[in-house]
Amino acid sequence: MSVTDRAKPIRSSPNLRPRERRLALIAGVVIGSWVLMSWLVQPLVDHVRTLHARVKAHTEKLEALSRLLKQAPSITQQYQQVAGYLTVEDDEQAQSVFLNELEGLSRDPALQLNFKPRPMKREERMSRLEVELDIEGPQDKLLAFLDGLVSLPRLMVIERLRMTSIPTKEHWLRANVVVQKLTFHK
Amino acid sequence: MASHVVVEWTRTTLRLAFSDGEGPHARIQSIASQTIGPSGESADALRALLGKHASSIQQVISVIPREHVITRVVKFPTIRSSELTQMVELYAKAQLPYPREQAVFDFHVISQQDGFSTVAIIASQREVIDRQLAILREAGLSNIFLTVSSWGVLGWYRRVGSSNADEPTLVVNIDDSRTDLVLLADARVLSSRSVGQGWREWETTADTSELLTLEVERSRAAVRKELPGTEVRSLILTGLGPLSAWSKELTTRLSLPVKAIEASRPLKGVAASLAPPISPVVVGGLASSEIRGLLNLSPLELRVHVRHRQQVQELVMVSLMLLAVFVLGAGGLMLEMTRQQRMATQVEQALADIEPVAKQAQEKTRATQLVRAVLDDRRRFAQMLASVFQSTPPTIQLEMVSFERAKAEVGLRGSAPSTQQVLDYIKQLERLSGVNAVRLKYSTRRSTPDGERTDFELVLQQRQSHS
Repeated sequence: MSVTDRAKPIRSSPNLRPRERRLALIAGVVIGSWVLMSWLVQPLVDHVRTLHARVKAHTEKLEALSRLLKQAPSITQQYQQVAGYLTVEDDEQAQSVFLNELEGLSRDPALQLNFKPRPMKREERMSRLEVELDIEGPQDKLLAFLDGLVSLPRLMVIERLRMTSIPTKEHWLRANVVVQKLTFHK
Repeated sequence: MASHVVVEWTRTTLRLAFSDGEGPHARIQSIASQTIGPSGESADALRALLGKHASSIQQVISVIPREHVITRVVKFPTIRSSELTQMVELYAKAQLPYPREQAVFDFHVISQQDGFSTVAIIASQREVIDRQLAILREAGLSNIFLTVSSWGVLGWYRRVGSSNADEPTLVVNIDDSRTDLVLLADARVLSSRSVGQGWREWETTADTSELLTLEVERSRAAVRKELPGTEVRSLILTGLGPLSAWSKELTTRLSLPVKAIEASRPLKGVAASLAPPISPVVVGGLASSEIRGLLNLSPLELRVHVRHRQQVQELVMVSLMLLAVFVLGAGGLMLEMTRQQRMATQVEQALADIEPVAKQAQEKTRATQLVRAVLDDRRRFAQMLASVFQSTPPTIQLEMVSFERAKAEVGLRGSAPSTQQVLDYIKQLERLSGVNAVRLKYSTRRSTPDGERTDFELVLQQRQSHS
């Protein structure tokens, strides 16, 4: 082998020049990085973030529930104070008991009482029974009736009241009352 | 195994120095030499001497003997590196005794002062370089760097320690077939010469010290000519031969401090198999030098190739580091994911345990609140009615009382003897505790058989409960 043969220019690849090889390598590195980033790192980051958010939300919920449980004795005590109003009945039973009580309030013969029970509205945890009452009678009797109604030991709300005097009868009143009785389901 | 090798050919021997890296911290593992045959430099001889190291070699430093290069010391009016490079290139084209395409050259700065740079341009014929490269490649070596033997002397001098002599110091390295005279100062080569007589020739001559003195004087004269104002201040004698005896004689003749230093002194502990005796100064010095500090006599395409190779290596290194970062990052994320998953499971388990009891408590709270709200509502309604009736004077006749829970309003309709009484009545109602505001819807005067009456209608806005 002659010296000139030996001293041939260096070529590392017959197809690619050094600059092209470098560029190809850089492109490979960039694409590889992108692939790793998109298919491995980013999904992992997303998953970790989701898990982190889940843990955070659950931890907050747990803390709130723990705080609530710490107050459990006082909650139970308060609950027991109002437990009398929270009798659990079925709808029909609740309706008849309530109407009986209303009738009981209007036993006085001086009072004229008409009930108009409306259809019961059933909700998720309770039922609402609306009853429209038309009452007519002497002023003192009617006010006593209203007083009794307000004092009923039932979970009941007075939705509407309209009380008018009767011009032809002195000290005589007519009242239209809509009450709503709340009943918890069994 | 050695990763670096220094290859030096003289007229009679081939020498190799193996090290595990470059620079002063590199460990020189061994130095070997071998007599070369009458055919001269050959790849076979090199291959044989490389032996088992051949496969592990990553970097080769090949030595161009000083006698194969020419030096020009030139002063240029700049100290900027880029301008200096251009000026040297122009100078080399015009002033070197070889055509540009047949020459390989490099330069090093000797000094820079007042905007001027004194530069030594070292050039070699391309043919010399190519021949050496071809043999190295034929021996299977790549990643070759070519430099001049004088830089080996500089490397050896550094390893000895510069406190040994006053600078500029002339290091005289007596080898088997040549003698290098290199002037050094501040870790730079200021000037260098090489003579074709080595230890073999000096040994057979009776007046060696006289001849050596003559060569030293020639070097001093050359230094004075190239670098006016620069004087040799000390001399170090090293290499082969009776150095102590020669140094004494040289001291007398030159009136300079002359010191004899064994060539192997800075190479203690290095395994040496020097079949023919040689001076290990050049190979040993280069084996402990950093490549970037050496004069580079590699031809342009080799430099490009080396640079390309380095860039590719750096790119591969960066890619591997990047990959490692990705892998470490992914590993870290996986660990974090596992940790979060474990935490999520624990928290969910705790929630599942606590939730039924907590739900009951929530239900109880809601029921309690509902009952209280209903009872409050009724209480406020009763209070409002009672208050209204109590506040109504006998002169006011109420015809209608109404209440609407959704609007939180109480309506009153009636009549009073006068408008003033209606207004007084309103003021009275406004003072009631459960009343937020009283609004007069209308008031009308009318005549009745009993006299004038004022009809009115009022709306009482109930105060909202805070519970």
